[in-house]
Amino acid sequence: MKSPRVIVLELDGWLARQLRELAAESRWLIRAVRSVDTALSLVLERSPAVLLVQFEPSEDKPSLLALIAEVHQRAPDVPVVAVADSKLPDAERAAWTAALLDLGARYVLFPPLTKSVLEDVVSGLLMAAIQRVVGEEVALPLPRPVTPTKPAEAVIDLADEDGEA
Amino acid sequence: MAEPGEPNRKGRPRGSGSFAWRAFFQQSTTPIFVLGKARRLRYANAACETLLGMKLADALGMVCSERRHSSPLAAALAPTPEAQAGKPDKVRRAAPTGRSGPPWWDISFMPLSGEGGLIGIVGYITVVGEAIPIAARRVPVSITTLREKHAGHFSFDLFAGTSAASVRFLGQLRHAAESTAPLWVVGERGSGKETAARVIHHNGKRRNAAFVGLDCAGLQPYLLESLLFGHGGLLGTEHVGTLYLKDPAALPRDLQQRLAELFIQNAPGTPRLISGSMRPSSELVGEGKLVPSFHTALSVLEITVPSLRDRFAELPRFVSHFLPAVVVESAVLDVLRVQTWPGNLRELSDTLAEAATLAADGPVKVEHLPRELRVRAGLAPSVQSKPLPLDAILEAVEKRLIRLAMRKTNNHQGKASELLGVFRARLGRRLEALGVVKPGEP
Repeated sequence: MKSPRVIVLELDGWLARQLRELAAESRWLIRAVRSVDTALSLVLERSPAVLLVQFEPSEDKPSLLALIAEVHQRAPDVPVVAVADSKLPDAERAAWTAALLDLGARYVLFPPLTKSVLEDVVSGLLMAAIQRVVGEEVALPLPRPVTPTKPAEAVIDLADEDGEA
Repeated sequence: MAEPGEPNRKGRPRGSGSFAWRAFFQQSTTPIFVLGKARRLRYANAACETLLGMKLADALGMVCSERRHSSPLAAALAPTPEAQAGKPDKVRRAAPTGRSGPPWWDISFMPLSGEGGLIGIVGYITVVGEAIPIAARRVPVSITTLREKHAGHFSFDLFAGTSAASVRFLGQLRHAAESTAPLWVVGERGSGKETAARVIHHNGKRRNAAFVGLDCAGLQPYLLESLLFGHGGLLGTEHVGTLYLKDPAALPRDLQQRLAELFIQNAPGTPRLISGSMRPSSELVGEGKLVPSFHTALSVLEITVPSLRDRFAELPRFVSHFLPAVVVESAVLDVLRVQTWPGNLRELSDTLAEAATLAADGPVKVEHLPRELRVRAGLAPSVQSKPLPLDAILEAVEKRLIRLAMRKTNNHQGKASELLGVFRARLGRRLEALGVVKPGEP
């Protein structure tokens, strides 16, 4: 199985920064992109992935929303999270949420955004995507990076051999 | 002293008697505004203030132009080039609050020309189309078009196959689309349960509203509750036509119960419920993983999506569906036929996509398929036939570790034995047995 990835399509890098810690702990890759085409090509690489798309409801940018629909058709196993950039009244928010879920998004987030909610949404959907790839096996959390507890000199690492030769 | 004909401070021209033009315009129910020579807003009557949603005092002096940084209101009131050239003109624009309309504004511009050219412009606005209240405002038209296009992808043709299983299932799909009763879709993983639910929705009576698919196992319960019942939540609005719950048994029982009560009450505006699971609802209820209402009241119809194994006769159709513009050699199909496909169409789709990537622009051949598929088809030797001599491997590892320890201790056997955690005598024996050259030896 290829490394799980979090693909983030945004302009300011804020979402990727919020998810950096989670990705490092879980050994996931974060790919921050700015173009719709790049995001689509990454999604089609067929490894477990979640796509985050940042959008501004007041701007009429069909290309971002067309991406959500295209990903849903061509890579239905890649969950898409739409992240709105501005607050909306409840009624408009419901209309946008319904429209985006209809296009194939798995979740829609509106401000105020918190890091913990963002992490919960992404980790939940990515773990489910990983589980689909590994099948019936129980998806256990990926191991955290090993923190050395002894001085490095006390460890005999076969990989050292080449360096010392 | 003011010249004859010049307005005095009260806006009343000399010689006009008791006529007060401000009061005159103020009584009008037609929204009227006056722009100065430099397109600054000089006057707006009460009807115009109401339409613009602001007081004249707040907007007085606003330059009405269509420059990039202009406000939506300033852009809406900007005179056309013809009006600025002194010719009466009329234009239709989206109202600033409607973004793309409706409503629209028909704005008539009447230039006032003096001896030195244009001295101002009088404009009046006619509202065209019903204003949509904020509470019912929809998303932009472009998204509506996109949704319609997306819905067109989910036709019955997706499941129109020639095998007996497909023919039977297509009949069940059509029947389910005619109904609005709660539906339980059973199927192996990757068989297309959610796609089937979408086909039913987009060809059913509730297709004008949205299809909302929720991954109950992938999202924490509080996220699902927020989406459905929170601020701006979907349930209780008219936006959702079908709610698809993917694996509802993964929900906590209190949320299952809350949803069950909502759908059993079936108040006006309640969406249709479709649930997807790998197992029938009766089994899940029997194991205590699902509240009984889901089986008794919310699985009125139950359909089973056939597995790929039951539809092997349609393999060529699936291949051409997943790789529409790619040539696939017939030998590839022979290999695909001897697989069990536990991941069904999803697994087939992934396998073909990977093979097509390896084939680049050429035809997909057997060698582009994953090795384990070729092994199962008897076209590649099994990996398990490769010998794994344990003694030889252990000996090699031991040899490398001893060499490493010797290098790290600058060939000092005492320190090396400490590093390796063995007695010095044993290290000496192993050096000899393994043929590791000792320092100072030829």
